[in-house]
Amino acid sequence: MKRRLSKRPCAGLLTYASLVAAAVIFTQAFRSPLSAVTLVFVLLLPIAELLCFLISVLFVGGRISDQKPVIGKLESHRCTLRLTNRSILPVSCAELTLSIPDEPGSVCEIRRQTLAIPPLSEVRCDIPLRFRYRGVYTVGVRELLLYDWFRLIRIRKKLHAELTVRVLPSLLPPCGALPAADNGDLQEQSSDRNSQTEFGDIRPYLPGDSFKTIHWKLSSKTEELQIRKYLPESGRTVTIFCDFGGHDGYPFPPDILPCAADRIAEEALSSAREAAAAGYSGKLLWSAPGSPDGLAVTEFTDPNGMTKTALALAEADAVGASAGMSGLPQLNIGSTLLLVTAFRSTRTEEAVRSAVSLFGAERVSVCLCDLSEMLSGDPQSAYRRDLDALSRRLTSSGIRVTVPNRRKQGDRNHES
Amino acid sequence: MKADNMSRPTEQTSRPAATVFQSAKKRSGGAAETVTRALLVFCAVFGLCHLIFDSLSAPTLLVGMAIPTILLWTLISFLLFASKKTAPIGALLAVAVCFLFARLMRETDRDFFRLLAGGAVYLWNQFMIIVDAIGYMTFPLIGETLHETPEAACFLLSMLLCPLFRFAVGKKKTHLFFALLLITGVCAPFLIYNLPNTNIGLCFLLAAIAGLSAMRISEKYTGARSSAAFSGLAALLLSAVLLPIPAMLIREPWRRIDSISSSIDRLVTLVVDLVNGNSATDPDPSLADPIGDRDTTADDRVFRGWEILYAYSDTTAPLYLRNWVGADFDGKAWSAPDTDFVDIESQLGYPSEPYYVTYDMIDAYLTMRLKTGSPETPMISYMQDLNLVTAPVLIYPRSQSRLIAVPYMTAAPLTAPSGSDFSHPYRIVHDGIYLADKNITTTDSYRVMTLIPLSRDHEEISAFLERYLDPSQNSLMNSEARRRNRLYTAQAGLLYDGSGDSDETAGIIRLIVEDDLFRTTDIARFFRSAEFSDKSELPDNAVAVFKNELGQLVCYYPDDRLTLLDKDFIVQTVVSYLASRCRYTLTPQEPTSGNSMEEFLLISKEGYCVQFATAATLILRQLGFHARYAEGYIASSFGPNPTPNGYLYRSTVLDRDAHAWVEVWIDGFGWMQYEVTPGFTDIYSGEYPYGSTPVDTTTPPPDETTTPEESTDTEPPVTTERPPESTVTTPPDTDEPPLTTEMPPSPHDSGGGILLAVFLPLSAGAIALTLFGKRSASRQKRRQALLKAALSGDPARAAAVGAPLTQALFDTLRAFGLIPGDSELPSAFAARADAMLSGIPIGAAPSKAILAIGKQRYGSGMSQDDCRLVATLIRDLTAAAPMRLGKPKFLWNRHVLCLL
Repeated sequence: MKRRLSKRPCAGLLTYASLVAAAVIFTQAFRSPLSAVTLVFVLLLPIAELLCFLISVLFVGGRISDQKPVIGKLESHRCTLRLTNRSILPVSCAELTLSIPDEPGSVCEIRRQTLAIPPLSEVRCDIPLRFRYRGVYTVGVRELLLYDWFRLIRIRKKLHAELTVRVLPSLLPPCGALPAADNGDLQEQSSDRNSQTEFGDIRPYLPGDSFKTIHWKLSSKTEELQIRKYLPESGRTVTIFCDFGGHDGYPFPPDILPCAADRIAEEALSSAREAAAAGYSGKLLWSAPGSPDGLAVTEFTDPNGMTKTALALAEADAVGASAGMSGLPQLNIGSTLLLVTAFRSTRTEEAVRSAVSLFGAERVSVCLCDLSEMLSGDPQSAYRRDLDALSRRLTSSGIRVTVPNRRKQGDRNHES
Repeated sequence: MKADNMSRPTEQTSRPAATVFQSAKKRSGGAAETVTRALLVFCAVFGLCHLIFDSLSAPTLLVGMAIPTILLWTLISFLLFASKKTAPIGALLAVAVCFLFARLMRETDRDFFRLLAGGAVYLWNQFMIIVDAIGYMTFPLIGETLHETPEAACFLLSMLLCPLFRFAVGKKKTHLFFALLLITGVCAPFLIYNLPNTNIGLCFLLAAIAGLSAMRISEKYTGARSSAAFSGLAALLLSAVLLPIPAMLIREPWRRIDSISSSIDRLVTLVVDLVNGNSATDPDPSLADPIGDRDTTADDRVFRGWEILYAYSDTTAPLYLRNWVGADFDGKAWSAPDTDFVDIESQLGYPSEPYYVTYDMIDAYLTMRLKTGSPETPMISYMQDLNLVTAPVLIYPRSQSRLIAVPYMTAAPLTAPSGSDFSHPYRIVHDGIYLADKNITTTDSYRVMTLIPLSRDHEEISAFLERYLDPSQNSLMNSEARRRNRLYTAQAGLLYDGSGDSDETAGIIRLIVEDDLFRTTDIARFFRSAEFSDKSELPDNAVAVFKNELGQLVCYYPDDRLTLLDKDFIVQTVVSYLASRCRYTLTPQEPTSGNSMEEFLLISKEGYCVQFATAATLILRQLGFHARYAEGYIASSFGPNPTPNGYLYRSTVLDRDAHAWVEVWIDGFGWMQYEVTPGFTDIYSGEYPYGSTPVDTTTPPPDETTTPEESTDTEPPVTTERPPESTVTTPPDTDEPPLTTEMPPSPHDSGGGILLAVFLPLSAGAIALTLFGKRSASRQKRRQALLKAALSGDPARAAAVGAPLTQALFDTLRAFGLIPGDSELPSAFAARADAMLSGIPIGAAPSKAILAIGKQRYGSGMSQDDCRLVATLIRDLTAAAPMRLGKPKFLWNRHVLCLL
């Protein structure tokens, strides 16, 4: 692994230069062998010392033990960072730039530590890992600056002692946000996998296609064999959209937003698991400005295989998400759309209504996450008011709206 | 990467690693810390002690006592200051060591405290000797009740320095600056005047400084003392490996850089002039003439044992180091030859030549050798015949003077010990007197190439000269050498023929020669005699004229056919005559005559080397010799050289080694020295093989009552000699004015060195104070702006000042001694702060402010009210600090540590 070394002179070099100048003047003012010895020593010592320093740098290393790179929210874990000096020369001053979780576990903060590493020894740091919010965190040493004994020079050394920790969103109990779960349509759906009741598309005949799919009428017109492409049973798919960016324009306190994003993700995950348990498959979408179409997607099929979905949700970056749905997802015929949001953003509401107009109210549902317990005072009242109003408006439009009661879970999530 | 979005790039100030990291080597770290600090203390104290004793030329004290003494006191210091449990052990050990020391010294019959006092007296008096040698007034401690105890000096120094340095390296709040200041202050005088003979002490000091610096730097930035000790130990060991290289190789000063040296000289001149009130312009060196007349009046002198110089040689042959010659005698004092008078070119028709009168034979030898191009020339064999060795002699001044003492047969210009040019500008004036433009000091050692006679058999010399001077022997003396010989002979004749002597003195001498010398000795046979009836018929070079029984004038004049042996015999006869006629004493009676020769030869008939040399010179001139009076020093007691500079032997020349002798011009040979003072060894009577083991330098105690019979004894000189007119700066309490004060005010008086020693540390202190002051002022300004922003109530500004305000509060609390523990909870620290700061009139409880800080560090930041609360607390604590902490501590915390 290539290690880049970057050398820079330090302020101590100015002091040393002054010392050399003083020694030279000393030799001229007091013309004695003693002054000459002092000057030669002042010139020789840093050279020898820097040589020792460069040797010791080569033997400095570090690593971080990865005990569990994937953990759950508020789960306590620990990793150990070790810095070793395998040479017989001490490292006088090592300045570490660490990325470690802060005490509440909200973020990884940058912290600088300065320490000395004795020869042939190891220094160890146990880093507690406990995160409040889901996400991907980098813990460990970002940068290592090594100083020589007299701080004349410093060398930047890349240690690659970093650990990527993924914090999964919590698994919430199902809230019944999916419309099919409530009216039992899920069980009444045909389970015949071969039934092809939904016409999807036309394409040219390819050898091996079933003769039953040939569209004879169209083929006679085009004088080429064309076949009908049928869609799978769309009634067993769910598309869940996580509206992370719906707070746009709403005066939420900054520390509320990660919690809100977490709640949205957890509700979405809960709904996805519920759908998967009911035999549905589907995908989770969320706004991702870096993606080609502005959306990030993860699919789910098996209720026991939700880890991949949870990991994808853990990596979902809510910071840059845009409000609403940047584009209506392509819904397969018969599938349902579940919008999970916590905000009463106008754009979100518009997106919902657009979806309703396209797919029909029976296929669109909304899960409103109530974050009012994170607020207090007038903002709380205003928020509740807005949320209730939104719920009423959507409900009056025939849209299924679910407001999960997560009061206990919410309290746990917002422990400080 | 997603993590970048999640990590908040909030940078916090560095905290000591102890709060996060744990070293796996706790026990070894503690041991390393103790060992390192002990080594540092030992090296620093040993270096200082070695520096001091080496400068005082007492290295034997170190060998026997220093190392175990310093080790013991280092151990005691650590025990005393380590903890309350070990302090009693340290105290007991200290008492035991003192008791043991007193028992070891029991032969002195003094108790322990008197021993220590004796050590202090010894150190002080030795220091006064050094101060005196560099030309300042001294205050020696002399008295019946004051005894010097050299052995106790080392014990005393160890006892004082070890705890001091232990305190310096151990205490957390002690800065490296003060330890360095202490070392610099003690070492500065020794280093300035280059007093130590070896570099060992300095090496130990430098190693200790390097180790301490590395350790302190690491401690300052990491806060981990045990780990920092490894750095100190490594730096100490690295220095110990590096330092011997320059210490052993470097024997001479660094090469002179004219631009810097001249600037320094100008600066010193300016400062000295300002202090002394002199004008800023430098006097013309050519106008300054330090060569004054030398009084020959017998007078009492006191010797103090000052060291004048060290002479290093490869033989034990005594060296006559001349620094002054006298040409004309006025009855009381000698004056140096007048070079302006001698104009060889116009008077004798010879081209201009330098007046290196002494270099006759050596010049000829060198010229011949160069021509033959090989050292294996007949010239070398001739030198071997004469048992003359061309050898370097190193002179190391230990006092200041403008006159440079050189061996009498110096063959080449002065050089630095390495062979490069001598560091000081100098001129050869007044027929061989070496005069430096300013005082040469202990840092201006020089080397001369000289011919050292290992033995002098005059028969050999005579035989050599017969061949050498014979014109038919072209290979021996070529035309150039003959020309120069004639030149020098002519010059000697012009300068030293006695024509400048006073008539009164000439009359006295003539009386001595006529009535006594010729009658009592048989040297009259070397002079032609003739009888004249009339005075006008007397030859010009008649040395003795008297009337015979028939009333005729009998005249003696020198026989031109005198050989070297004849001349030598005459001179020796004169020496013997004087020894038989006059008595050597250091305390002659009060003179009654204004003419010192009348007093010496006719009245008191007693005196010392000055009078004997004067009389011999005048008598020899009357006998037709070209003779001159010479002053200088004798380097005679050569012992093994303790300094590893390549020479085998060293002689320490003291003030009592000042001497006077006579030099007689031998045509073709040069100035031949003759010892005329009774009791002193004829320098040619001993055998000194080149590079042999030294002779026994133990001299008998001085005998002031040397009888004439004993004067011919060839034992080494046993009497101390009163110095002639002093060639060094004498203390103001003597009758004779110091030589240097007869000069016009010189910008290079000895005050410059001490002033420099004072000026530089003061300048360094002023610079340090200025830097500290600037730093303190800028920090105060920033702090005020911070508090103003915090108290303003502006929410936007509150967000920006959160972090610096947190640091400011921690600094303020630290000034009051409140430092959060490594694992102390914020709530506990807040409670402790409340308890400790109770009684101080402050607006809000400190605990609230500390908890507010917690929001900054661990939460989303302080609010506007929190900032105001913290700023109020800082302001109140700062206002209460002078009362609570005391003024000195408050100023220290404010201006040096910048905490308040």
